Amino acid sequence: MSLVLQLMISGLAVGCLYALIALGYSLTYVVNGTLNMSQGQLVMLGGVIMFGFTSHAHLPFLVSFALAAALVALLNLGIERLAIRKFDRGPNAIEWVLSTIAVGIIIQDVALYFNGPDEGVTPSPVGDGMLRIMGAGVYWKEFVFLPVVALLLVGLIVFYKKSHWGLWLRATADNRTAIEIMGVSSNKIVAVAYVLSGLLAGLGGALMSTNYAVSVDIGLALGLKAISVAILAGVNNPKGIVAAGLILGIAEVFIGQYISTAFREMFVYGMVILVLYWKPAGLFNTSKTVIKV
Amino acid sequence: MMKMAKGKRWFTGLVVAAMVGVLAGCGASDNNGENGGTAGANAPAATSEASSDPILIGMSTEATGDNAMNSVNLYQGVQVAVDQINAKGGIHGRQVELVVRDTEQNPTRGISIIRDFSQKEKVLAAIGGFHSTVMLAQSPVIMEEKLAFMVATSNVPASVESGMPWTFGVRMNANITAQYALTFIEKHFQTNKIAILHENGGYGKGAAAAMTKVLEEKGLKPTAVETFDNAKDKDMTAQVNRAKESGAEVIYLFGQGAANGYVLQAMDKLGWKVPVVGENGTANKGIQEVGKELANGVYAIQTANFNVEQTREPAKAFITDFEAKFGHLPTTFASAAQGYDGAMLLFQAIEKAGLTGDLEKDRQAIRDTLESGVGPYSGVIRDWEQVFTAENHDAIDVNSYLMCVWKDGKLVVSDLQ
Amino acid sequence: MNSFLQLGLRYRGTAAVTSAAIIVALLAACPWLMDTYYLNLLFMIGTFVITCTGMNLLIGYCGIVSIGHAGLMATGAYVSSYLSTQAGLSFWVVALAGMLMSLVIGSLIAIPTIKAGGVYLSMITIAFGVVIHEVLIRWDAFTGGPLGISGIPKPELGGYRFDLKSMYLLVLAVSVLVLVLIRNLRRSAWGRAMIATKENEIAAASLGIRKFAVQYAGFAFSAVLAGLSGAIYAHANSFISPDTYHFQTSVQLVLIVILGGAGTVLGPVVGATILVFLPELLQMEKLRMALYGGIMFAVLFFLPKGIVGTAGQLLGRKIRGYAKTGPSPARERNSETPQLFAHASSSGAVMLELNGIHKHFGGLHALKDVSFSVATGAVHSLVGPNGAGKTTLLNVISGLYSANQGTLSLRGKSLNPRSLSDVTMLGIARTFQHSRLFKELTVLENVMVGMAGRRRVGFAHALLHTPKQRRDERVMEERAHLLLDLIGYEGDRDMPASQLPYGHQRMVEIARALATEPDLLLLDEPAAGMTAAEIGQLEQLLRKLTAYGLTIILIEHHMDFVQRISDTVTVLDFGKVIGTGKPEEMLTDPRVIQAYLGAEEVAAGA
Repeated sequence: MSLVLQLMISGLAVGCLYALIALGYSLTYVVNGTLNMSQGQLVMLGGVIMFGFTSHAHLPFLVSFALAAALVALLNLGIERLAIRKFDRGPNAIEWVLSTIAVGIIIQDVALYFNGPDEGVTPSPVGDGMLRIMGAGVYWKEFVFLPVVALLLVGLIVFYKKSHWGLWLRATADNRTAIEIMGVSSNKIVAVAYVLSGLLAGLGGALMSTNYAVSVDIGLALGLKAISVAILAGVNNPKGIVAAGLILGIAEVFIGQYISTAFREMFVYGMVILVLYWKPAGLFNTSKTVIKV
Repeated sequence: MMKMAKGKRWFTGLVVAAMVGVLAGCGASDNNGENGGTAGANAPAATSEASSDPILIGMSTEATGDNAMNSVNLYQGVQVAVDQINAKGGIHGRQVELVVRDTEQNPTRGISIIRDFSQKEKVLAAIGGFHSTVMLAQSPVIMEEKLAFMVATSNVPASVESGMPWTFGVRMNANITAQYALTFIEKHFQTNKIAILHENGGYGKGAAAAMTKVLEEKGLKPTAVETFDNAKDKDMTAQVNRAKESGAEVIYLFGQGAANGYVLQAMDKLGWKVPVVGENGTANKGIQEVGKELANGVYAIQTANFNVEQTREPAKAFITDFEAKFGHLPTTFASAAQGYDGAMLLFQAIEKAGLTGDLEKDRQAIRDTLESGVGPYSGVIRDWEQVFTAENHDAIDVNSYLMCVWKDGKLVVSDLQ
Repeated sequence: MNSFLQLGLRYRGTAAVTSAAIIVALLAACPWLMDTYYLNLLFMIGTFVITCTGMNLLIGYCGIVSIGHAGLMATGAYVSSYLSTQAGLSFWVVALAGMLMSLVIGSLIAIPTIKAGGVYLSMITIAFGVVIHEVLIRWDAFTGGPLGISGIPKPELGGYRFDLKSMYLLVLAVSVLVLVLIRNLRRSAWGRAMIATKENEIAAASLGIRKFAVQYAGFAFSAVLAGLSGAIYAHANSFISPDTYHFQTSVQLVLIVILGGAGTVLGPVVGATILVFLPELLQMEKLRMALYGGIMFAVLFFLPKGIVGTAGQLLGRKIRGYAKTGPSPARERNSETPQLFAHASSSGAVMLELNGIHKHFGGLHALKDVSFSVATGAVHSLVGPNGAGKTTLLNVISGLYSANQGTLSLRGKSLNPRSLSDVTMLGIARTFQHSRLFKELTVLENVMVGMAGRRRVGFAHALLHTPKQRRDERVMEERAHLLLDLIGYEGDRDMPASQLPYGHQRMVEIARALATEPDLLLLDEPAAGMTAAEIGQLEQLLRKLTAYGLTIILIEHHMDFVQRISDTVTVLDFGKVIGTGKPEEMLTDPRVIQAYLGAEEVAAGA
């Protein structure tokens, strides 16, 4: 029993991170059908900047946390302006996929230049102690992911439901033309979505760095993982993505334990592919009218 | 309006092209050792007997990619050797120059680099071989190009074994390492119930295969063999738990950096404490960065250790020069030491072979000298009489190892050997 | 100067072939002109050209950006290497096996990918690429795991063992062949169908082009080429490992196509050359990847058509400018237009009958109990205020939507189309409210696309440009010219359709619809945006068509035009049929006026 609990907790902690990263894709996708393929690199930056601020610049934890998130959010704003806006023409414009991939390559290499290739772990304010629940062990600094991520998600929901920016975001997601006719600049709204998405990435990375080592090359793998989550859930359903992220994290650990660690990734991806055959738009996707060609 | 937009595009396009051109030019002159000899075909090299001409040695390294931070040790060790030899006046009065190329951890690049070394830059010999799959890809081309190559880290046995006359290893051959490890484990922990936890790259798989083979020769098996992905996996609970349930009493750990730390964390969570033995992967500070105190007591098989007072003269000189040049100790001791000794052996072979100016002949002579008569050599790792033989191109044997252990956050030489 | 150019242009076909031959000969001489370093680079370029020409087809013609094709290269490489190292089979056999396996895997990937679209499609291909990469690492027994397969034997041919020189020549030959194939494909019905589907799926379907078949062909072709390239690479370098076939490689493949210019024949050659030589030139130790990414970004930003694409566009315009100054070859005006509509139906008096058609969109009840008949050979107009459901009705008839209730019958037989492309076979053709011409294709090609549905040309024939295919092409071209004559198009027929003035676009669209040899033609506001003169031309055309026995259903707002041209008028309002009858009756009916203008207006007018 304690083993099952152990696996659950470990899986949830990692799943939280997956969900957070994949959510970044969804936030922008629902607004204008684009996303930043270098989201993984943004998470990496959040982590690396966090580590740099705390360990080299010796800034206090919360200050570093906020700064890291803010910087990444700002960067994503720039990325939207340069790499996405020009290519966002019509439903078939795919150049932004490639341009954001290019941006990811640049970010990683520039980060390597300034930061060097080393890995680092940010000291967590809750220390390195272990919490034991019915025999299952989890580090406090890892356990703390769950409430922090939950808080972030709640904050996000509140923002969407209560603030006027949130209202405009939802409206633009629904009908971009109508919003423009009303005189609201849809460009600004898209920018807000990207800032939010960047904020999530930065926070995710900074959070991640307290328990896992971050270095400039973790971005790509994270991004690819998050894409699987997004495909599984359907990019345009944020709640589905959170669910899928958590499910994936847990599934990975359980499959590894009960089936095989060697073939775990293949099982997981096999599931993703089966889902794709059955529902190409994702499990939780909210589809529109089907046109038969 | 349209015309202006088009004109702007062309202008920017030209600017981009110009940028590329400038950078290409900058890049070309960035080379340590531009030979300037791109004259085509396989024409025999013009006589480079002139005493001021530098001796070109190819340096195949990984400057980018997720293992760059470890690979750099090899390169740095070689650089120290080059500085030392040049300070003494070079070889036969000629300065040694490195032609450095980044493989990007990409086997296809690695192949092109060998041909670059051989045909375009016309080096006399080359050194490198940190990344296993790059080394495997380079090996057949090295044979084709007939260029002596010193493998200074990759543990894949096949790169240097018989049938590969042009590669020489100053490295920890996975088979030999496994033998040493098994002897160590049986001697000091009185058990042979070993669980192998390894990363699913060439490094890990090679080590796992070697340990499995060594156990099989004694009619034994590892109790569990579990894999993880170095880059992607953060949670090792499943792997460690399966190892624990298999009844293992020692873990043979072959991951890289932080991943090893996660393994330690998983062991901690499961409340399971057994000896952990590794090699370069556990020597790297990543394991300590993540595992913190958990890393204390973890073993790492190395060929040198620079956290302690050096007993050997060459090692003392090496570490002094290393710290002077780079401002810190090597982060992976074995690679740095092996890079240094490998380079020195190359230099010694060149010196002994004597250069005639005919590139093909010189390369052959260097190879032959390496194989049969480069020793005796007193290196950072140990003293050698013979170094290599026709049947054995691996300089390091079971007696060359140095078992290290983490203590108070530092990797020191272990009392147990 | 001008006349010299004219001469050059007339012989530009031969000139192109000769210069190509010279370049190929020069390339073939390279093994003796350069050292193994450069030869190896050329070899690499060649393998990329093979794969990327396939990708060019996929991206440039089919519009499918696959970022997972490294997996298909890997399939070819690994399957062939496994067979040659374990079973000792010869290279030629295992290469075929590799290509076959790549085709199989490529087909598996194609199915969910083609169903999806946009960014989803790319994400799915990424996922597949990652899966294959995982398999390469994990499936030890077959792939050798992370340390790959070593000692792959070099190809042999009757005792001769290939070395770098001969492998290079092999790759050169295959590359040239592949480039010729894709060039042939572009000038065939398949090529046009692919581009049409990419540009406008719905319009292409309305011409009978099945999206899946066309895009699958692209996938299959690219998969086979990737597999071949992988097999060649493996056997040239004696070693393969999983790290050659990961996400970054797939990105490189796409970049090569985009950099060169998607859809251009020589694009992959230029792209591959740059991509292979760039790392060799950029020997700077720091920030190399950043520069690489920067170049990729710059190309996407400033040269979206790629290098060859942009150059081609500029040159193309210049050449067309010169070509126009000469007298255009006079074409025989053939008045054999009746043969275009040999399908003169024996359908009886009623062509189409609708009975109780209902259509819902969620809560919106768009069509309510719509019933009327369309007589054969008649011009039947649908009128009604905006939002009445006219286009929806047309969509139901043409198979774009299914009715929720009610029946349709065509020529007395029940009509239940499963999709838009089905109805073409039944003799129904349509145009759309907004112009859906295929902008990348020329005017003539647009019309020729219409014939793709009825005249199935084999893919292999298209690739190889067989005599049969060439004959078919000529016939199609002739017919297209006839149709353009029929609609009265006098302009340049080799001009990209994007440059047509709007009124001409609408007319050419009708010609394209006619190319499918329909009995029933559905026109959605054909006169919208036309000048009075153009409307006159339209009228003439419609009369000619009915004279040939065609039945026409027309949605229109120009009431005088409707009055002049229609035999019957059906008025719709809020999804209901208000009435069906002769134009004079319907258009003065008070209920109709009320529907258009509102009750108060009627009261005011009365």
